[in-house]
Amino acid sequence: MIASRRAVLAGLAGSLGARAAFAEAEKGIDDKEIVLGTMGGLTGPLASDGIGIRDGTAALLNAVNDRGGVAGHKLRLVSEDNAYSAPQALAAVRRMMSGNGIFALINGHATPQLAAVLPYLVDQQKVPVFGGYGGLAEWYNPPRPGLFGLYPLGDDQGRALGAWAARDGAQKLLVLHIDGNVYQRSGLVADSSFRAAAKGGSVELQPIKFGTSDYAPVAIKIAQTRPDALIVMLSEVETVLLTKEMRAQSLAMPVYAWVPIVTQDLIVKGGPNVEGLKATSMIVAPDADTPAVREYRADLAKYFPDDKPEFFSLFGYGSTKVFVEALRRIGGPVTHEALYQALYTLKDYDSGIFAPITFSPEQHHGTKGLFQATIKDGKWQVGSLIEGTPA
Amino acid sequence: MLADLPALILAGLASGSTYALLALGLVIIFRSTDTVNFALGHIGVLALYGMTTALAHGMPLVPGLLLAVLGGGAIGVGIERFLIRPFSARPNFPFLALVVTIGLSFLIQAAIGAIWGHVSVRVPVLVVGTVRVAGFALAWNKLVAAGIALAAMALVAGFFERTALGTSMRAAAEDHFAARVVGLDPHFVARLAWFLGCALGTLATFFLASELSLTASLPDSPMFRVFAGVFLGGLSSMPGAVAGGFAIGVLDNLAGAYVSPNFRDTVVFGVILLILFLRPAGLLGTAVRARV
Repeated sequence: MIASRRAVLAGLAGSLGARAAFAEAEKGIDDKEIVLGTMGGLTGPLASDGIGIRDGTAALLNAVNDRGGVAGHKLRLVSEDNAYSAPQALAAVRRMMSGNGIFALINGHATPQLAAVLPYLVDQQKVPVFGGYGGLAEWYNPPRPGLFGLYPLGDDQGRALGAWAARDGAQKLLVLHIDGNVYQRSGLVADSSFRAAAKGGSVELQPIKFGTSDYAPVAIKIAQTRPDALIVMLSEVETVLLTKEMRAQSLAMPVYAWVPIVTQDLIVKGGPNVEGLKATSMIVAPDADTPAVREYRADLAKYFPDDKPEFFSLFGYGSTKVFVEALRRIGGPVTHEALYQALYTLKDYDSGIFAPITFSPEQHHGTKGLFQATIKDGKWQVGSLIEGTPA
Repeated sequence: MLADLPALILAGLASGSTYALLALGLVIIFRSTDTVNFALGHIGVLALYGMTTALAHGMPLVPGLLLAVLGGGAIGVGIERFLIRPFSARPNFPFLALVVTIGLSFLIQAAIGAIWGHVSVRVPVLVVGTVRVAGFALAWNKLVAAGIALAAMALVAGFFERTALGTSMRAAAEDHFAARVVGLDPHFVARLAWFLGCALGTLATFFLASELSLTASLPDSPMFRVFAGVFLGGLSSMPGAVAGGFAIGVLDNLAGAYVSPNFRDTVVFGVILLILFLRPAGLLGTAVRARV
């Protein structure tokens, strides 16, 4: 009878212990599998971007799984379409978190959609968000527990572009930026960076309403201002329309643009009008002849034979590679805390795709390094890191 | 600054021509079938994706475009028959039809994504090069679009004013029941209106695509301005819609040059609000009184 009571008590204790362990267990992981979520605009106006990021992410995860997994686990990707809509993004991550949930959200696309899900995912559910395709400076200053990024911040891009234009000899600069405080701040950083580098140089900032389709008035403004160079912080389509109008009006001057327009689509849409355009790029070229990029192309061809190598899938692939590297560095049980500590061990980590990456408890944004990219003969040529940008 | 005024007006007229063509298509359909066709631009995009496939297989541009325009019209006829007409007897038909066309625009985008993928397709221009007018370079392609918009307006006006069929369509638009009593087939009138409207919409979308490249969501932003142009000119007036489309292009450019590129929409829509406040039926529209 006593033995029986002991057995019951032991069983009860075991059951309670198991329940406590279950209550504390993180979602999206068991002893065999880590479930990772990703979301992006898989339909809607930026579908080609979202699909590219998802495919690059999945290609890397498939390759890792085929080589045996990481930290004793296989990696499973749950992908949701946010249709480039913030409300749909929140609905998408809520779906991911139902049931067994996800261990982390990786490579979410894009800034407004990530902004919509961070309070729920990072603050409320304590789920890490890594490597989003987008980001704002205030997300990382001060560092937010669980949030880690690689996408270049607007201020860093403005700084790099201003310094680049000055180094090329410009003395009079016109900065065209999308209307809004965030973009204006990037423009102001470009302004101060340019003035510091081009001693005595002058800068004018011109906000442009997002979605502008007729650039004739802007071309007239450029013709009147006659700057030595333009910094353009507009969307891809708007950059195409601007360069087209500039070419029609015979306005020839160096144009420096930011990361969002470094896409294959820009060349398809812009054709000869965008030839010679210079831009900051966060990653190397998808056709680069380096081991890391050759591996990317081979994995993409193997798992997504219909996809052509391009910047979005390379971003997804590269960002996932960094995340997997952190998982690989976890010595013991895979937990969120262990992941954060592993990320903090990345010091000047060379992914072969991004500039060297460093994370620390004080630095959750992994790199400020930007490459200089130029369109030459209808192709993006991505060169070395822009001088003066910290790697 | 005022030295640029002629150039800005010309460039605005050239840009407004695509709005004008789309606006004309919208009004033709609305006047004949009480349907605000929100999917007009997307129907055009669907037809143009078909055209790009034909071009990729070696078809020259002009026959390809003609086929696309006819195809856009034919798609419109099919939509009218199978998606719009079934609701025509409902008391709240105009609202139902609007919702159907909004839903249709999303369905078309999804279908394009499924068939052709989500990548941009470059569409060649009809006429290459630019011409300098008042010291400003204007793309021949835009000037051709403007010419076609004006010619289309003249042809449509002539059709509705001077032909028996056009008169029948106007009669059917005024009173479906009376039109049937005197022997007019309202279904034929509706088919013809949808064909004409969607064909014009396809032509306009072609000019947009040759400027921006073809994507499933291409008409999203321009349609916003087209509706503004239609309401400015008057939803019931074809010349008004065309004038409204051109006016939006010009206002947009003047606001961009003389106020700020940042306040273009604010100025354009501020002016429209003012005009609609003074003339609720639009510049050339006529007020419709409903019996209650």
